[in-house]
Amino acid sequence: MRNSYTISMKVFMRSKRYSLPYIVAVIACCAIMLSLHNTESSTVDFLTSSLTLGIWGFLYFAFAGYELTSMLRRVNGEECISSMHGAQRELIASQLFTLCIPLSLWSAVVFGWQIVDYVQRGLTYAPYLLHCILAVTLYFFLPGFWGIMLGICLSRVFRPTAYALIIFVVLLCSSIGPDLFTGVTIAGIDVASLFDWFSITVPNSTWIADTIYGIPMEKCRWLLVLFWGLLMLSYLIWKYKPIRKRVAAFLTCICLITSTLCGVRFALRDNDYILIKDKRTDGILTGEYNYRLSNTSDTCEETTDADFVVEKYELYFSFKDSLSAVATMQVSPSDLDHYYFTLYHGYSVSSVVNENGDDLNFTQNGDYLDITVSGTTETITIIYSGNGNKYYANSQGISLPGYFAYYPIAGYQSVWDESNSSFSVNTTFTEAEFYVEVDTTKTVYSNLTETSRNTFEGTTDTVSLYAGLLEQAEIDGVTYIYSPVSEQSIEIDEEEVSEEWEALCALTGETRTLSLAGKVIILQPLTIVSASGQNESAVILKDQILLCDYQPSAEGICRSYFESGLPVSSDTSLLRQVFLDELFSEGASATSEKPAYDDLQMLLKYDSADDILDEEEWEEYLYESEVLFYELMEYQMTYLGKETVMQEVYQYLMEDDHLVDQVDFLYNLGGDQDA
Amino acid sequence: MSGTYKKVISFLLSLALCLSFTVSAFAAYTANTYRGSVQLTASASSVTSSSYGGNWGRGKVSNNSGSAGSVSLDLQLSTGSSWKTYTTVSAAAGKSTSTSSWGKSSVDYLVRVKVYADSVPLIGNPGCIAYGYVYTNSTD
Repeated sequence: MRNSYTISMKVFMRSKRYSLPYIVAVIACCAIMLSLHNTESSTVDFLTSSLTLGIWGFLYFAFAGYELTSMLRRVNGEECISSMHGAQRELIASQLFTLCIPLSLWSAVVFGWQIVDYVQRGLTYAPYLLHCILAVTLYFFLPGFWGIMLGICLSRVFRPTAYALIIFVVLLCSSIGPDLFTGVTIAGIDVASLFDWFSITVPNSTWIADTIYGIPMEKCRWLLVLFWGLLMLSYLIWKYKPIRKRVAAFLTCICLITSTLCGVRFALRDNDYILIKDKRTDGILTGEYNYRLSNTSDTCEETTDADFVVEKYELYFSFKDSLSAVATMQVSPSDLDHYYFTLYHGYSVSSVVNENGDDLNFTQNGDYLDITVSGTTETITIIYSGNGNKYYANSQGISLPGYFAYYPIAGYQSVWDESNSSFSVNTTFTEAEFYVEVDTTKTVYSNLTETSRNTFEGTTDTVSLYAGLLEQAEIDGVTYIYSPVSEQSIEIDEEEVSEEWEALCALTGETRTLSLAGKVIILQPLTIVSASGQNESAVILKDQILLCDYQPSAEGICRSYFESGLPVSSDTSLLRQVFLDELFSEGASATSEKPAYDDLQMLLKYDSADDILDEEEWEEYLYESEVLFYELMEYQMTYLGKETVMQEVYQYLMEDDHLVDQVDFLYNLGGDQDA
Repeated sequence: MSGTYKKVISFLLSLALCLSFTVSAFAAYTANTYRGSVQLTASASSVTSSSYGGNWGRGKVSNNSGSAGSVSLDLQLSTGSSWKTYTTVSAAAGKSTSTSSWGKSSVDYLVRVKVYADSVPLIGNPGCIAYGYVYTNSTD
């Protein structure tokens, strides 16, 4: 064996065919990583981009595996070696082992760069290094290893066929396929999802990284790698019969059965394979949007307050492949015959019982759960499980903001904002006593006080739960829950927020107050705002502020809070947008030319571009709304002053009824009656 | 100069200072300057806009009511090495929607939007007509 290994190693090292491409590939890899290191915005982004090189590793090692193992066939030495007992087995094993050394070195280089990046960014979060090791193993080392296996499997095939097959497999495994077929469906099946079976390379590499979830490494991804690996291993055992025939057959069967089991489990993947950012119809990017398109009756625009309150919640969560929960609620009054809750439609309710364990009748219609009770009931227990779309919850990460209905909320609340095609953000909750217990291997963070590991208690309006690459820190008396590898600034000055808010109030006439005092600031994963999350940049609740901003800042908090108080109405939407844009702009460009009233006719003719069927009129409307209406606003600000215009427009937008059209209002502002 | 007159002047100066502070307080947080647009025609499945510089970027998509289906807009930012998608929004036929602003004040980005039909037939045209708009916080 040692002899075989020495020979294989010598062949590899001395032959330029193997060593030269390897050295070039590693140097090119280093150059690419140096460039990425200088430009990527966070260490997780750097890791993601680095791991895309895994496909090159796969290609090289498939090539090297093929060339090294087929050499014997090419020099007609197969007959010679097959005459020696066990020689072929030893040779294959030593060749595999030989190639594992450069593969390990290359993987170490990729990991080494992560350490360099980690140190240079001044990070001190050790769990991330373990995350890196696992990610490099899954998305760099193992693809390379399966590349070697593929090369060995093809060793008896002629070179052109083998090369063609290797290139075909590389294309299948790369992101080209899913990118090419994104959005294409055949018989209701997303073609891109078929490529999941070959997705051994890092996902979402063209997306900004989720710094709380990190690199997706769910159980299913490991099983997929195992599926292909065992499939090739069974082929090799059967082909080379390294041991007695019966034992070989037995081992082949074992490998095939295990591989099949892994494949079946992968085929049944659902909630534990969630963070894929592509256009599949039920994915996190457009899944919710598509669901709302086909289930319009499930979407309620208005909130219906409950005629009962939940005085106490006892919530038991288990996060493995998905969320499983037992929610016990103490309701008051106890003599109602109908209790109704909001619970996101991704969670399926399996049972509802009262305090005696008697089943209660219930119907789950979309996001709403209706429970019928005969007699009185003090407590209602709901058992449910499922997946919350972009609000992920599994063994790798948890991101459940309190404004999202991942536990039953009394009354009917709007979950989807139809007008904005985005998730709704509810900030009005009735205060209740909470006891929350979470079963997961991760450390969980919450706005509630932790009483023991992953157990939380307290009285608040709603509960948020997070886990993953997270840390909790207290800076200047403010508690932050944040990802230490995100490089987001976590020093939001309480005084600065107050000053910004006061200035905003002075500029517009806003009267609400805003304070950070006593609130936990949670920096949410960027995935939340990536997908239909326009409303979720900053959400202010009773004892927590949930920020989902690339650069959390006092201005961002003020803007989001200000926007949340500004009514949304179809007849003022145009003015509202221009007002907000100009309010937070760098300073309006001074303009001396007022757009002619006649040039704004489309804006007067239609409430929005949505109503226009004629393409020319539609384009005209878009031009008037995107260019001329802004020029009108800038003209008014130039001549009347920003403060005057902002205050007048703010008052107009806050009015319940608008007797004057928004265009006329802005045009005639300041008494100019040109219109 | 009388004392009352001086007080009025001081008051007006203070007011002017306060107002100028309030105006500058919210400078540069969001991407509000219209930079350009791109049109998705009925025969195309996707189109990408030119790129524009800025610290923040925002996108908006308007889908014509005669479109065959919904369209999406990806907001993409680059610091030089590659384009990264930051957020995506979808708009049904006859709807418009905007992304939130993305960026960092300390980083210079190139910003662009990609507009594409959500459903693409294997053969034939997607049949979507839409405009995508790019906004940044700068006119550079």
